[in-house]
Amino acid sequence: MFELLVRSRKFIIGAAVLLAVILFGIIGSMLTRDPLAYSTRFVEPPSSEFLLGTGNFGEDVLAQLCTGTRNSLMIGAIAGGLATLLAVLVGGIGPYKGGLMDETSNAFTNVIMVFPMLPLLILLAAILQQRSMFLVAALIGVLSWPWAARCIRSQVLTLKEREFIDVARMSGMKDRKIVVTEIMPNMLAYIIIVFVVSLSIAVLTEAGLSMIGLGPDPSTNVTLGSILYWVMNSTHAALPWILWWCFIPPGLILTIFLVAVFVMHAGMDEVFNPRLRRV
Amino acid sequence: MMKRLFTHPFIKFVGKKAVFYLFVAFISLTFIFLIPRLMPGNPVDQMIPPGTTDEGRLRLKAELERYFGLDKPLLEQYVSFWANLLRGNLGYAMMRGYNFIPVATVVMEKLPYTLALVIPVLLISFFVGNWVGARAAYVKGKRSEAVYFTSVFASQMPFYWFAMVLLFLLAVNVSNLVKLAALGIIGGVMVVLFLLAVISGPVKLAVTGIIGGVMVVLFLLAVNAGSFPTGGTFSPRLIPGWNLTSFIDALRHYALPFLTLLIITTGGWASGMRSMTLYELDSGYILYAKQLGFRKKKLASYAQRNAILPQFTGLNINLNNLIGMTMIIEMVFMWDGLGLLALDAVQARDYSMMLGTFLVTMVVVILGNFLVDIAYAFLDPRIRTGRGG
Repeated sequence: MFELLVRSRKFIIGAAVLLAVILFGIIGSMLTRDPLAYSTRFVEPPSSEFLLGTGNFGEDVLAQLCTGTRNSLMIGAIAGGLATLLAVLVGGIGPYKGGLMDETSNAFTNVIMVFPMLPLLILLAAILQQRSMFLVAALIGVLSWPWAARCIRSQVLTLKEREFIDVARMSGMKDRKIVVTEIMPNMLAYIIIVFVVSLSIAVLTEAGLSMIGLGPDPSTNVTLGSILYWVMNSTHAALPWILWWCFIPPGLILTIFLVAVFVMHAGMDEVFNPRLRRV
Repeated sequence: MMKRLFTHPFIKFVGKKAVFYLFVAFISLTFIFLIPRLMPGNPVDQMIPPGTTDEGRLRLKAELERYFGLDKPLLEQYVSFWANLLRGNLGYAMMRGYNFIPVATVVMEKLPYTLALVIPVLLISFFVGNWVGARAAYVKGKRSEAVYFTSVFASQMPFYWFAMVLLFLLAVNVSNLVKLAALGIIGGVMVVLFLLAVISGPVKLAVTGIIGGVMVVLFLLAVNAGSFPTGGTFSPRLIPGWNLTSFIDALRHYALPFLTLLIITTGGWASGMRSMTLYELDSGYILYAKQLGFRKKKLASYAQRNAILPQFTGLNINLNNLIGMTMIIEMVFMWDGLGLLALDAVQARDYSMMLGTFLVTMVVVILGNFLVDIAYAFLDPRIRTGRGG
């Protein structure tokens, strides 16, 4: 399975860029200064001392960018993990058991699917006043699983009908053992796809929420969105758009990250989805 | 006759969907009822001004709870919530500048502005995106890849950030040279995308040329008339009315939020449609038809028809996403719709307004989903004709 993946050019390129973004966040945040260290050199354009200039409170934008990337990815990983877990539970158990369980879980998924996620997040985040990074991640995770549950459901439904599952059942294997030893290994690649895409959706959503001030408290938490928030609410420029060194880099990092995940996902799809297989 | 009407698959399909969406409406409205009552952060506590004495706090709290009916049993509150809702009563605006106008009035006033962005973007991006995507599937090699990566890039950009970039490049008083360069890049990418996908005959080339030319002229006019406004729905000194000046003014304010949403959603449709059409072109019936010697045009129309159906099912999710995107884009561009209202309500901690905005958004989403499903039933011949596939 993984030998096939390595042969997919799209997957390799996407994964490499993704890894570079992750390393930029983790290693960069170790090498740069404290992202919350304020100075009196407000909103200065890039110079040799501050490679990407300074922000609203005289903080180093490069340091903010590295730490923000790391924190955003962390929020994305928590939210994506939570969404994947919920999706596997709702989209996996119901169809496997079949009957009423399947119908209930499917109806539940379809109902939640109609809910517009961003407006709901805005409402819930506004009501919860003290927002930590973990809370925002949990909110995003709890609200973004339905599409994933649908994908997993269709996969489980086709897997369930395969002969080797019938054989396992006829040989008297317990349900739990069938799931662990027969279904899970076959679903693993699919679940990884779901996780990676959930992660990218969560990162995009978190940055958007933070930008309008509804993410984790922007004065103590640095994320890619909080940098955008301080640009939008800058007190140093009449028109915040003039501070290009503050808001272009975080968006570029986001774009690179999202395109990388998309390309990687497309590559994985071509390997695992027999309808699209080209490798 | 009656019986045949009710057993017709199309009617049955629509009926089933109507029941489903009524159920969703019931669940979501109940959810809206429960949110302020179950979530931490009591709305009444937040209304009490800081600095109130403890005794005053208790008395004010009791008074406010009585006023909002929060002292009654939950079931009674729930019944009166529905009674108020069905009468169109969503409470009164508490935030500054709205002077206790009914929330429903305010929200209904803002709704057209949001729909003015959502509906055209949804329709235009669907048609343009799918058309570009399908064309990209027919051209082979480098051109196809170029269209693919342009559309992926367009669809994966964070939309709020793209809005800021557009504002930076077009609305701020940067030099005309920078502005022209930016316009050149944006217009160029769009024209190249079209040209790459389209060139296959002199007529289409002419059409593309005309579209591209009109776009360039429009952009030049816009640059010449001064920069794009940085936000708002109308210029501050203008009194909106039904005349040409207001119309042009509104159009200039409309251009950037519309363009932002359009480019991003079109990219999504195009990349999806390209892979769907590629898949259809690979399938047995097309290969067979090719062997039989069908003309290219015929093959294309067969493949496209099958590829568009899954895209249509994506329209539901796309609508839900687009509403959320529009709300945030409104906040960036200060476009006077539901999103900006929601942000104001959030900042003023006006609960009735927040819930009212979300409620109307939810109703719009449910109605939109229902309409999309009906349109799907029309398009899918298996449902429309009643002869199952």
